[in-house]
Amino acid sequence: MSIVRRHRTSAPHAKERLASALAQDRTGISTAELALLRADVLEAVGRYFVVGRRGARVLVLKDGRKQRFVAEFTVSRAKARRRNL
Amino acid sequence: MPATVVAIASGKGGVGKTTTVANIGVALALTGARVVCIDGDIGLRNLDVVMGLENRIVYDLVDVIEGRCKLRQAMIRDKHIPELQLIPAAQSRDKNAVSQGDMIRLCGDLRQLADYVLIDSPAGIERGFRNAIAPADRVLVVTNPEVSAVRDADRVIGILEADGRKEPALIINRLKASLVRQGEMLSAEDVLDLLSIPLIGLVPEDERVLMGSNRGVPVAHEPSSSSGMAFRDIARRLAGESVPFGELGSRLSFWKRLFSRRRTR
Repeated sequence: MSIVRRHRTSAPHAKERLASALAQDRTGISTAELALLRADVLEAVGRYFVVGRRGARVLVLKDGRKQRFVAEFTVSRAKARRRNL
Repeated sequence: MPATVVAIASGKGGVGKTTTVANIGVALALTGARVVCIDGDIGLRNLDVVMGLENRIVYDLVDVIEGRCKLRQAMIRDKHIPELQLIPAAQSRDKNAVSQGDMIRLCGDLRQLADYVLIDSPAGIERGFRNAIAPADRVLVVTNPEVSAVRDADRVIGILEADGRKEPALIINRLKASLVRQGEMLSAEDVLDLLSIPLIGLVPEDERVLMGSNRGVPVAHEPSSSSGMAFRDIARRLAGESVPFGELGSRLSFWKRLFSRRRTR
């Protein structure tokens, strides 16, 4: 273990926490709801693709004063389609 | 030309809103502009003490609105600058004594008597805040580089956006450059990145602000103080001048600052 522990300053931590809080305030979506949304989107995408082991990342990103909803998946291939659709 | 009505809001209390109103008022009046400051915080008036005018109050905002006096009777002239006047808030009434319509009518009358009308909004996002922004041509949002103040400022900006108002401008107050450089305070860039509205002022932490409030002489009177200079810069920007911000609040390292200083010589 290093004797001199690297100290992380507090301002970047404040900025990260604020970015998350503001995204929630602006969209009105909580962390718990975002987790539900992630599960729903993962399920929907999983019907069409084989989703990779890393699964999905669902984020609300800041775009000026607007929020961007971004869902990112690692997919290996499309699932076999049913012919009688 | 009719006056520009400017509301100064913050969401969170204690960020220096009243001090900001008093100082921008002084700074504008020092340029020769006729300025009327209105204390919009009914029941919790403070602008009078910050401006050193608490012993001159006879009538207040509610007296004007309820017709107990004429508008000019409630306007208190500043001790040092004749162009600067204050309409104090009522101390013994509640915020329901004033409506948005009352503020619009009052500011409509003041537009003919002044170049700038500055309204000190109460903290929060309720009736007093709505009254303050109702007649405003511009809104300045004051925040500190601190999590709760930034979050509340964002809420105020969101309400202004939803109201379809002209984009507000931001004042970052009580910035400590040394803490920003150590990475222990949000920088001006951080706050601007989070709030995404234009900046109109960066005011450094300065003990002379407190001393000025103690004496009832806002720091904008002092040509040598860093915060006084920042408030005078805000007044110039409000008047349409292009005034650079400098490096206050930037997280540049010592070496980068040294290098950039050499380059600009």
